[in-house]
Amino acid sequence: MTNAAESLINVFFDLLLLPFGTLPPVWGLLFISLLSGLGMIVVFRSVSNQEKISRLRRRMGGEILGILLHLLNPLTVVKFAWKLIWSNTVYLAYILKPLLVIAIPFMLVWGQLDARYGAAEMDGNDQVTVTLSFDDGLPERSGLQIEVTGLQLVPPVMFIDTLDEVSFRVIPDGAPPRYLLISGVSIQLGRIGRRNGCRILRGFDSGNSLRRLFDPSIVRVDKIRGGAVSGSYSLPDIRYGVLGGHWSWIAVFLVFSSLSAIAGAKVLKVKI
Amino acid sequence: MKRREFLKLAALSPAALLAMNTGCRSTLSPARRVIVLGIDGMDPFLLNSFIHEGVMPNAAILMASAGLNPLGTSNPPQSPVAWSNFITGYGPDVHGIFDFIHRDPLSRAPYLSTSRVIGPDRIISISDWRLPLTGAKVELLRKGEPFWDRLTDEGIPVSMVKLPVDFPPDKGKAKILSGLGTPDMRGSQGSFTFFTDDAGSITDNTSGGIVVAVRDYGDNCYVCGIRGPENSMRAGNPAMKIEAKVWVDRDADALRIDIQGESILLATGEWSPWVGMRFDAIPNISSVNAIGRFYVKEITPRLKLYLSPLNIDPLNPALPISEPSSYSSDLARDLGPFYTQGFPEDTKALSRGILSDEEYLHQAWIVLSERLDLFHHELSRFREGMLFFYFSSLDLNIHMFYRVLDPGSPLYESTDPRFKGAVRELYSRIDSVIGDALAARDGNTEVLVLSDHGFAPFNRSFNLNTWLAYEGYANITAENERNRDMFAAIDWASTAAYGLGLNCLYINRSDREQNGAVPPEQVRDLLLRLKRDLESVTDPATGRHVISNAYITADYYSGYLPPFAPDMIIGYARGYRSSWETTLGSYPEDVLTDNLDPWSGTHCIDPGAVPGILLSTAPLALRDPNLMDMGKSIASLFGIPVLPSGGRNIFSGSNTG
Repeated sequence: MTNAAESLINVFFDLLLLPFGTLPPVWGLLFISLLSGLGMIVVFRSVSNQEKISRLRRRMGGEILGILLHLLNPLTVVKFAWKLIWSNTVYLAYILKPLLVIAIPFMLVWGQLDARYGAAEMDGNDQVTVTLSFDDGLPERSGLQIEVTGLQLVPPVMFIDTLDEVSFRVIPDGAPPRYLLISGVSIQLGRIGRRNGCRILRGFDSGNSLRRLFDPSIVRVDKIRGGAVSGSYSLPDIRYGVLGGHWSWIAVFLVFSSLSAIAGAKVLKVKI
Repeated sequence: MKRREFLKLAALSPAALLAMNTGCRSTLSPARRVIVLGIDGMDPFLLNSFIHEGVMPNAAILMASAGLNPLGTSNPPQSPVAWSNFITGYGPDVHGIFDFIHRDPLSRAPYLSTSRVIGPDRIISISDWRLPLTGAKVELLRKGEPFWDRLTDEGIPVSMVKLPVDFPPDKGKAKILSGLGTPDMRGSQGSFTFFTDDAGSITDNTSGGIVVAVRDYGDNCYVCGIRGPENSMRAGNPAMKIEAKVWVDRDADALRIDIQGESILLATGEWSPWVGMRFDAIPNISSVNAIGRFYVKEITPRLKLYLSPLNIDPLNPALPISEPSSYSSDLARDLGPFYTQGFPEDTKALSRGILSDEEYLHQAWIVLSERLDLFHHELSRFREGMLFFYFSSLDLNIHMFYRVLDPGSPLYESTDPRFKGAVRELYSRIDSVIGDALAARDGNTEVLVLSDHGFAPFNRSFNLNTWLAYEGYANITAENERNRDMFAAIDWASTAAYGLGLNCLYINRSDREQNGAVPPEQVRDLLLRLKRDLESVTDPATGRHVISNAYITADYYSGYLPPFAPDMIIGYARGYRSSWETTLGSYPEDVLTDNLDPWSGTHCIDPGAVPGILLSTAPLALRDPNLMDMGKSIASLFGIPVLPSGGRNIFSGSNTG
C-alpha cells in the first residue's frame, strides 16, 4: 500500500515538474513553492471558518486599539492585554483544523522538494561514502559482491562488525543513471534521470516503511541474501542564486510559498 | 550661449580633457591591467640557476624583458615586515611591524605582531555563561595607507588574493582575500591534532599541535575528541569540542570517520577531502564553522590519525577573511573549500616528526594545487585593473627543504635522495604560473613577479639569550629553569638585554620594562657595546662571523619608534639564525648548536644577504628597486594623477611619479 502511494506521489511530482526539466532547477523549485503557498491558502479557506476568523480579527483589532487608547490607565491596559491573549488562543484553536489538514500534504511536498532540490548530483572526483547496514549480521568478506554502473568503486571495502555495516567509496563515472549491484540486488544512486527536478537518491531501504513516503530520496530495494539492508550516502548541499543571494531550497520554499500565500489571501479575500 | 557655440564646446571638451590627461601621464602609456604575482621567498640565486638549467622558461622570457633584478627587502627580512613595506611603501617605523612577534613592553609578554582580538566591551554573566552585549572584533595592527587605495579612489578595480599581513582585510573598495597572518580556528598560526594509541608518540609537547591519546576498547572504535576554538561565552574560555568516532577495519587497512552526520572512509596513506565541522558555543543558538583534513598515517598495529589545523571555513567564516565578506564564500562555492590559514603547509608536523618528508610534501602539493585552482579562477575573470596573487609554497617548502640544496646542512646526508628535486619541481610549477599570467596578457597588460626576500641556509642556531647571559648582559639565577620559555631563568633586576622573536633584541630599560635595569641615559652606550660585541661573535666550529650587522633601530629608522619596537635588529650571517629557543625567551646551555630541525632554510638574517626578486614586462628605470617602491610603481602604470607617497617609481626613476 505504502509502495503504491509512494510511487503515485513520485509520479505526480515528476509530471508536475516535467515542463521545468530543461530549465535551471531553481525555476521548478520556485514553481512548486508558489503553487504550494497558493494551495495552502485555498485549503485554508475551504477548511477554516472564515466568518469566525473575521469576527475574531475585528475583535483583536478593537483590543489593540483599547490598549493604545488607555495607555495611561494600567488597569484597563492589563484588561485588554488579557483579552488579547485569550483571543490569540482562540485564534490558534480556529486555525488548528486547517493546519492539521495541511500538515500531511505539507510534509509530502517538503520531502519531495528535499529529494529533488536538497542535494547536488555527484560531480567530478567527489567521493561518496556508501554504508550498507545489515539486519542479520555481516556476510563473509568473500560473499559480498559489489559491482557498479555509472560509478567507479574506490577500494577498500570496509567491514565494521560492531555495527553490522559495510562501507565503501564510489566516484561518478560518466552521466547518470548510476547503479550499485550488491550481491545481485540493484540499487540506484544519485540523480535518477537527466532532467532537472528529478529525484536525487541518497539512501535505500529494503523494509516496508512509511519513511520513504516522506523522504523520497530513499529508494526501495529488494532484500539482499542474509537479511534486510539499508544504506545511505551523503551528497553535497546545493544553493540557488535568487535575487543576488545564495539560498538553500528551504529558504526559497519558505519565502516564496509565504509570498504566494499572502498574495493568494489578498486576491481570494481569505482571512488568515 | 547660442546652440551652435554650445555644440562646438561640447565636441571640443572630451578632446581637451583627453589632452589634459595625456599631459599628466608618465612616459609609459597607462596599462589597463596589471598582474602582480607575489611569490614569497623566491630567491634570485636559485631563480637564476633554474632559469639557466631551463627549468623556468617563462621566467626566462620575463628576464629577457627587463632583467632579473634583486629586490631590496625589509630589515628584518621577515615576511610580515617585508609585505607591509610592499603594501604601505614605508618601513616598520611607519607600518609598525618589526617581527612576527612583538612584546608588551611592560610585561614582556609576546603577542602576534599583525593582528589581535579585542573582546566585547560589555558582558552579562549568568552562572558560568558569558553573554556579550557588544561584538568582539579582530584588529589589524599594520598601520599606514595601502597603495591600492589610490587606485580604487580613481575607480580602478583591485583584487588582492591571499594578501599577506592583511588580516582582517582592510575595509575599502578593493576585493581582498587575507593570506599570511590569517590564524587557524584555535587562534594560532597552525595547530594540528594527532590521534594515536602509540605510547611512543604520546607527548605533552604542544609546539605546533597536540597529540591526543585514544584507545580501542575492543570494538574497533576510537572516540577522538577534536578541540576547537576557545568558547568566549563560557567562564574561563574552555575549548569547544566535538567528537569523531573512528571505526577501523584492520584487515582492509581502512578506517571510517563518523563526524557530525558525515562519514569519511580512508585507507592508510590517504588524505581526506575537506571535512566541515561545527563547534557550538551555545548549543543550537551560536556556533562556529571550521574545516580540516584528516590523514591516515597508520592503522596497524597502532592508530596514527593526523588532523590538519582547523581552518576558518571560507563558506561561513567565523572571522573576517575577505573584503567584501561574501568574497570568500563566493570563491568556496565556485571552487569548494580551501586553505584559509596564513601558513597552509603543515611545517610544524614535519618539524615534530608527525609527518614524514613524503607525507609533508604530499600535503604541500595539495596546498599548491588548491592555490593554482584559485589563481586560474581569478585570472580567468580578471578583466580590468590590478590583480595581485600571492603564493606561499616556495617560502614554506624551501624553509623545510633547503637541506637538500646545501651540502653544508647537518641534515643533507640523512635526507632521502628522492626529495632532492623537490625545490626544482616547486620552482617549475611556479614558472607555469608565470606562463599563465603571460598568456593572459593583451597589448595593454603588464606582468610583474616579485618576492619579499630570498633564502639562505640555516645550519647553525645562535642562542642569543644564552650569549647575552655568558657575556654578562643577562643574569641567570634559576639554572634549572633555563629551558623554560619566557625568561623564567633570569633575574630582571640585573639583566641588561634580552632577545625575543627572530631578529629582535631589547634593552631592559628602567623607564619602559617592569623591573627594568638600564637607566635611559645608559641605553646608547649599552647598544654601542652590544653592537660591537655581537658583530665580533665567531663560531668556534667554523671560525666564521655569526652576525654580519647588529642594527641599532633608532639609527636605522628615522621615524617614530613605538615602545614595542626592538632596540636592535640582529642581521645574522649566511648559515646562521637565532635559535627557536631564543624566539620565546629560554636559555639553553650552548650558544651555538647545529640546526637539526627540517626547517633548514631561513631569510631572517641580514637583509643584504637575502634580497627578493623582481621580474617585469615593463622596462625599469632604476637598477636598485626595493619592495617599498612597488606600490608607487604599480600605481604609475595606470597613469593616475596622485601616486602613493611612499617609495620611488622604478619605471620612471622619480620620487614623485
